[in-house]
Amino acid sequence: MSDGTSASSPDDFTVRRALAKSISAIESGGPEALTIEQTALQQPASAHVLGITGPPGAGKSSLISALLPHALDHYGAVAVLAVDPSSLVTGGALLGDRVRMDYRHFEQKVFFRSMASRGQQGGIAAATRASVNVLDAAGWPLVIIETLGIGQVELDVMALADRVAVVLNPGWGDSFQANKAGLTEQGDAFVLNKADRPGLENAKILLEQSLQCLPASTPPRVFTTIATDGEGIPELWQGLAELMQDAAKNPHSRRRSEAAREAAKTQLIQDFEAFLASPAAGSPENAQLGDAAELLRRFYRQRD
Amino acid sequence: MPKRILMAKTGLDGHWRGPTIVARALRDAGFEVIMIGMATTAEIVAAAIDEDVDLVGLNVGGHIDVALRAVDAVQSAAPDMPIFAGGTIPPHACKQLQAKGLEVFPPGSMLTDIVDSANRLTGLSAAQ
Repeated sequence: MSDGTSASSPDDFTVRRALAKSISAIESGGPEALTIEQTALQQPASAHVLGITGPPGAGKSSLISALLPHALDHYGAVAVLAVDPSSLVTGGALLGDRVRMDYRHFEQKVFFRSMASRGQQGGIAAATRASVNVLDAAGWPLVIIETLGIGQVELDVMALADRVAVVLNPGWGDSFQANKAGLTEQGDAFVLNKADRPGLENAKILLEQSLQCLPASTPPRVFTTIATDGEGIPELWQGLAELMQDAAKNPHSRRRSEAAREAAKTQLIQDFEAFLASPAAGSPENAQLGDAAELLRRFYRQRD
Repeated sequence: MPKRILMAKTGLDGHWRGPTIVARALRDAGFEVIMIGMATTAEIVAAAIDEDVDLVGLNVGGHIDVALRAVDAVQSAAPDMPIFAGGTIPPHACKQLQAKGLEVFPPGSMLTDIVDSANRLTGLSAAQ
């Protein structure tokens, strides 16, 4: 797969389309999705995975747009998976994260995919995990996951990304909000964006006090930014880059994306077994997929 | 599975109300609508490819030549990807877009007709 969808031959639309279509197949689910992720997981993991989360309108997309030039300098190429909510009524979605992007930095070095949550409740889409693994296998060195606008507990991204930044704003909440369980427990860095709004100092003090009560010896850092005019962005990128380096190198803090890959393998075997036990596995059009699934099952049995 | 539509603006026209209303109608009809900000032809093509959309919607603002170039570029990069267009498009420009195979929705078009067209072009309902 790394040969077919490499980021190193970015001018070729066929290659890029193949990658985009494999993500569509993952979103559609079924045995083809399982086969694609299984193929991807046979490549060694190398991509760094950064999560950006926070409530709606906090500035997640604008921050990613502002961070992209720095991320491109550092990694050379960046893939973004940006999740927005699907309607629970119609199944439709308005995916608006691209509106914030400054495409001057994109050229062919940014792969940007908008994803609808399609009924998932954890802040990301069901297809996000497998899409990260496919982008990794295709040679994209950094994958940024932007969650949909979350509340207090939709934190599935924490298990998928190596490190996660939580984006909040001045006026976000009082000392009780800052000390509630959930959001402030799990972020690796916190960003108070729209820092030109009133209440910045108060929000920063409350957040830092809450974070100091966490069991970690060093509490997560709090950055202040104004994404739309670039203020605080170099400092934020420096902080995030250090976190990502730590995730990659520190033997005591195993990269979460690697743990997620192991969990994905276990889940894939279960999903394949469920497929093989279903009537669909016996249908003529799925005959080849059934064979692939059987091979996968043996492959992972051998591994264990 | 929901079908995916890219909503793009051609040229430097900054009027958002039209494409936003159309995007909302398509969302409410069950489509996943990907909004792209002001973008060049190359950026529209790259977005259509990365997002693997089933349909490209072009909001035509500014000079028709810019829109025609965007149509050519999308059709060249992804010949199987249908395109429709809307906006304040004068009649002679509508004809130019239609000549390239596009369904065109000038001022006065009904949202229901746009949704019907999206259903047809993405294969959700039989072609007329």
